[in-house]
Amino acid sequence: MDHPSRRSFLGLGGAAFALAFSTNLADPWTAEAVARGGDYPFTLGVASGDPLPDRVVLWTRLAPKPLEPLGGLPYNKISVDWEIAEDEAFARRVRHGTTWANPEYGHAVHVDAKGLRPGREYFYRFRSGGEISPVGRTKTAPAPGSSPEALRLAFASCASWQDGYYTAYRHLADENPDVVFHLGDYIYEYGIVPMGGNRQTPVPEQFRVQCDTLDRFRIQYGLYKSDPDLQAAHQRAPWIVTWDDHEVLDNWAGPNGPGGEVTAEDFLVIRANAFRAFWENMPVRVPAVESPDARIYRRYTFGDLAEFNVLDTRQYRDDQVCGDGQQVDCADRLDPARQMLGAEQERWLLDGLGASRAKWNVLAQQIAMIQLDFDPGPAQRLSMDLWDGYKAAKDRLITGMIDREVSNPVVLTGDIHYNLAGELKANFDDPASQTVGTEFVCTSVSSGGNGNPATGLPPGGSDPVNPHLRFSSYQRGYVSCEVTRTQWRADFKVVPYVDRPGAPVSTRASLVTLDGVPGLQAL
Amino acid sequence: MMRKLAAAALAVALTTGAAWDPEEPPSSASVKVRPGVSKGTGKLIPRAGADRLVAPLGVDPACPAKIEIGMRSDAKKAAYATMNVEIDAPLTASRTMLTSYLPAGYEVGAKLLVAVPPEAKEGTYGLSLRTPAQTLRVPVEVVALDRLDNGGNLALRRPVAASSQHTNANYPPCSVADGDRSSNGWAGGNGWNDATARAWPDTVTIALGGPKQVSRVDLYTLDTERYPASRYGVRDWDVQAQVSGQWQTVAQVRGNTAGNVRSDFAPVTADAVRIVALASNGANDYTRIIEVEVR
Repeated sequence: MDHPSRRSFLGLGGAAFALAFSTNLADPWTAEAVARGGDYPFTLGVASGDPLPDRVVLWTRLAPKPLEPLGGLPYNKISVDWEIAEDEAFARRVRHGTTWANPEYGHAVHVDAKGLRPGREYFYRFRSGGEISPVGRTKTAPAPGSSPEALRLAFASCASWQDGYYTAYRHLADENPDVVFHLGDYIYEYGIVPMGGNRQTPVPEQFRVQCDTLDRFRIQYGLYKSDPDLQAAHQRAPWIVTWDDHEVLDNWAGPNGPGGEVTAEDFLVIRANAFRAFWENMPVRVPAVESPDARIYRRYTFGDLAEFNVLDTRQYRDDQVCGDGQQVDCADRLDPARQMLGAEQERWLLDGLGASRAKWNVLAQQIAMIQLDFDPGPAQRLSMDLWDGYKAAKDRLITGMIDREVSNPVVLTGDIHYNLAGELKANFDDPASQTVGTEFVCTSVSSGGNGNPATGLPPGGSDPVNPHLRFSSYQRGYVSCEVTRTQWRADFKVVPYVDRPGAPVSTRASLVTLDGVPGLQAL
Repeated sequence: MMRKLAAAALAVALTTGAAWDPEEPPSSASVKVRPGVSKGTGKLIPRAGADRLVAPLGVDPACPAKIEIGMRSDAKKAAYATMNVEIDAPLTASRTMLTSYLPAGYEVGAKLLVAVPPEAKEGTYGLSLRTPAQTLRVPVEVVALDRLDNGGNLALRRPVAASSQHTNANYPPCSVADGDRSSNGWAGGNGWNDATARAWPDTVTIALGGPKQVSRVDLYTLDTERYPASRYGVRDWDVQAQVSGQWQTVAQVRGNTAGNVRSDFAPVTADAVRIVALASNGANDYTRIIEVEVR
């Protein structure tokens, strides 16, 4: 979005500005941000996102008191300066400007910093009311038509605050990836108990009730984004985000809230509040949300190496059938009229996949696409919330990729609190059928608590009821990927606990899929 | 997201069994929308669900007084609207403002919790709901527990203790004596969920504030369309009364699938009443109680 920001600084020459800014260069990372108090407005850190070859969105939200609905600020617009440079010392500043933080948007700031060079690192920061923000690092996408040798990305999902510490985000930050994908459940809408669940941290009274109004969603984001590990992850790399269900309400589907609890009219108001809070708090280049409808599906191209289709599998889907949950023999899941992406997004996706010239064609989305049979016996018990519950829509997509001879389909998934790696099959009930692509599912950052290292399928193993599944683990963490012209490597990073801070990170498994050879190999 | 129940089953399919965390809390959104026709004046009108709020003194802070507050839009089109919420000290409210998407002509309501600190004095306090167009003042009457009109329910607002409390959402034991029998808003502070799945018994005890003659207990277990009592409710329990320091079983319920059950028994003079839950109807085998009334 455009802001009145391309004018020069109000009452301040560039040199004076650079001088003023050059006083806070030491350690740019977040420890100091959380220690500050008083009127310091950058308690929620900084972020960047939606990188293009020539621009990136810079984000912050002014909130001296992050646990208050308006961040402790009056209902006034507030001037915010920003600058972006090629170096961390801001000696080679390339763009700067001034914009407004508006109370209607919770004093959020989204600057689309343009005129940048492709495929390179930048550093940015904000200033408001005499205070300077932490310095963020970001990176633009490679030039259109270029042939990058490699891309390093990480993806994550599911970070229930009260379930544990965000140590996984901290380790993700330490990798300095080129880009981070967040696949949803960034917040959970639930009320929070007085001692903060597994965090054993007191949480004020206003957090007891569930998120539904915009003021309540705002303080939930305020609490989540106060976390120093989450701030570090935003600060180190541009993010490309989408939402899943808990950004709104558990297992919502299109116009439907959770069955029997929330009326359609109530739900659309809640959805409008949730979408607005998401927009305010995320570094996204989509129009400001003004209603219960907001398009967030979009596409990013990294030269000829990879193209990312960021999907919204919630807003346009039909309601879950057979009462949601896991079901055996639910015929309604096969109904060809039922939509997961909605007709418009499905067409957009297939058209884009057909037109892509990228080596790796990625779906960054929410829910498991490989078939997951939860019954160890002969019965087939499938989850109605996953792609399995929308079988015809899944088949249209997989068949559509076969028909278009899409190069190296890779699906990145969150939601399920499990690390999984699997092979996308033309027919999941026939192990001999064509392998079309690969799915990597990241576990939760914190949701579900510590997890259990003693369970799971070793990398390269085979699950008897889900033969296309090649790896699983139930631990907390994220997935780190190195994408080259010859292979896509996924390292499943796990932490042993989240009920206290400081857990070390280790690699539970590394799996590879080779260019032109769909399917998985364990390293 | 997927329920943990699902995760457990997948694990069985993949490897050996393991211990799993309890399932996610259900939804408890409090927003209520009432459609209507805008007068087109552009005004935002504050609303309250009651013309006064009674807030007892000295109750468990986990179960504050509740009132629905809201606003109605007479604007020409939908917008995000804000109403300020102010309350006289030393009372505190769970929101300082109400901000929501609001279609033209619609009213949106949400729950407001009002906390009374122990040092507050009895009397009438002010709750102000303020929009640019109008201010609505709702009196909050702070009364001592012994002067509270309990309508004959000896358990109302009395101290409650439970064997455990689930911590993945808000399930305070005192909510079984908060005067709200409705299952709506489950997980949002409106009912008690114990912390020990598949472990029995679970107990919840209400002190009556002195010896009282009792002969009837009404128990309300979780029962909504999404969470029917036949799957989520308590199945088997004993009603016990503490008589002269000794617990005695005065009623037993077995095989229940209904949302509420009345137990009548020969009158006893009891200092406290407790529910000893022995089994529930399946879903993760927790005890889920909305309200217990004692007469």
